[in-house]
Amino acid sequence: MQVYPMWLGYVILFGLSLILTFVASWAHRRFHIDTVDQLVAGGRSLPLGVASASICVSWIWTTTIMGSSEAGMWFGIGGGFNYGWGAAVPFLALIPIALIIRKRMPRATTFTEFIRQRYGAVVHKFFIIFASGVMIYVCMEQAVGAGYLFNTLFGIPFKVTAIVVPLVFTSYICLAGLRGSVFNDVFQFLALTLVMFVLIPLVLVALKPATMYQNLVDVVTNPNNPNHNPAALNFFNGAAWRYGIAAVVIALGQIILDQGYYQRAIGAVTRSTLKKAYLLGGLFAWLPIPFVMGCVFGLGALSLKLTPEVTTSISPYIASLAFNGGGLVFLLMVFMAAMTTGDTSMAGLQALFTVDVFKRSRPQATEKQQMRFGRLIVWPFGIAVAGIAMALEGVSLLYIDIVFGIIFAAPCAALLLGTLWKKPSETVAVISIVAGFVCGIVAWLLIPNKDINWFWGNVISLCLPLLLMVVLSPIFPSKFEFSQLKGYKGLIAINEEELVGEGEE
Amino acid sequence: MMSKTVFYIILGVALAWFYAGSIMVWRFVIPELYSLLIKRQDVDKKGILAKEKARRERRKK
Repeated sequence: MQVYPMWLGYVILFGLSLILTFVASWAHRRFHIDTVDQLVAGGRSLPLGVASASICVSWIWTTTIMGSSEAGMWFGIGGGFNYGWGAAVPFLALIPIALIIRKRMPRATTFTEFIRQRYGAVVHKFFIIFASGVMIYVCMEQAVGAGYLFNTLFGIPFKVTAIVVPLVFTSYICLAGLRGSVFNDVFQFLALTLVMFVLIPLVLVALKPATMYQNLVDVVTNPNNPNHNPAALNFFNGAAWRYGIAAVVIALGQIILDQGYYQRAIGAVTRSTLKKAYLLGGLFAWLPIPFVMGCVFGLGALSLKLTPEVTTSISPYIASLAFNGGGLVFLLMVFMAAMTTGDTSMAGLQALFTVDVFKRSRPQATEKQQMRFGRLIVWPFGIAVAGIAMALEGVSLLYIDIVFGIIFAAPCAALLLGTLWKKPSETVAVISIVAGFVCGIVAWLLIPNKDINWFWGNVISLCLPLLLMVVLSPIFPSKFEFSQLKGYKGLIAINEEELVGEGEE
Repeated sequence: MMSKTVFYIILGVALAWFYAGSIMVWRFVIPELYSLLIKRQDVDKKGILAKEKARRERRKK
């Protein structure tokens, strides 16, 4: 289904890529990125608005825009909201973890440094592997999503977009690190919200809310309606709330194991800014986006009696009702969502490997050597992401999400409980991670019902480690005290001015 | 099944929340970008900390 000419697709793909690279190049010149701390933590001086915009837009995935509209179509009026709260809860879980790490270890740059101090080398290695896996997966999923979209709308070969997208964000993270990521996020936040400010009222005018309601009543009451759903006008529809719970489980690992989100927390100018930025960017600005997309785009598709083969394609169609070229504007939104999410995780990989792998293994490395490593290490990851994304042509995004959800839920308990409770020991953490991972995968493979096996795989992978840690920790308690973290010296050199006020009550 | 009024209220809440949330972020971003890009001023961490401290003390009183 090619909707627009191919040349237009190439103009958009390469034009936007050039703009984003230009923004990163400007950030590089303006902020003199000449230390590792500047490269990976933005000099720890991101102000409230910039941090909020970056946090909001880096959590807008391609699935936030298209998946929440789908949820509105599947579950009716409660679909978008349930998508939203389900994915927002893990964000709320990240705030205390980030605050605690920053308060107890002001010189830390990555959350895996905290894991090393808290549990020891074995659990640290587990987390390096899981965190790298999450970030590669996030980058790869954005490349796959963009590949499908450009292929559907412009007929551009999937593999071309799957290569270009990761290589573009890799190049600007190589150049400007966290600042390149954050300022591109801000630029894209402004563009994305402006587009939505205009597009949503126009779509509503085209759909007419009164007609929408009448058509939704038909969806509820008429069994011959192709989208007949008796619960479409029930906000407290049970299926929609179960979907919300599944979203919590799937999103938890994707957020709390992604160093990219900690980068913004570490980069915020003060701890109070960190807290406000996550509440403002996550709860106030991000949560209503899936809610409004589900209500307007999802219910719009239901009311128009659309019966697409793939429900993901409803959103560009509904956008095209607003005005000529509405579908094109929608594509810009999704492309920006893909780039901002991808660059967040690539910046996270850069920080994790520069600080917690390279500097830890070579304590004598000079600032220049660390900078060179930080700039080069993103390329193997960028190329690997492009290669994996190309190989996934034809694989469903939902399938990828579910499988990886099971894998990444397993270490969440060790991180969450290890931050809040001094009792869990290294042994208990390792047992819980391995048991959760193995049992989650086994449940997914052995439960024959394909409609619920993914759900139980995810739930077991998250809840079993929690249960094991709560039961085993009092039996095999750790001798760890949180006060041990106070003297942590950090791995990289940090300007003392950046640490003013840190670690205070 | 909800009435037309409740449907309008939910739609209205979703829209109002979206506009309010985004505009709140804009309200902070624009002055910061102006200061960083046009005036080329760096973020004053000590100033921000002093303001936060004063606010905390005011609250204690």
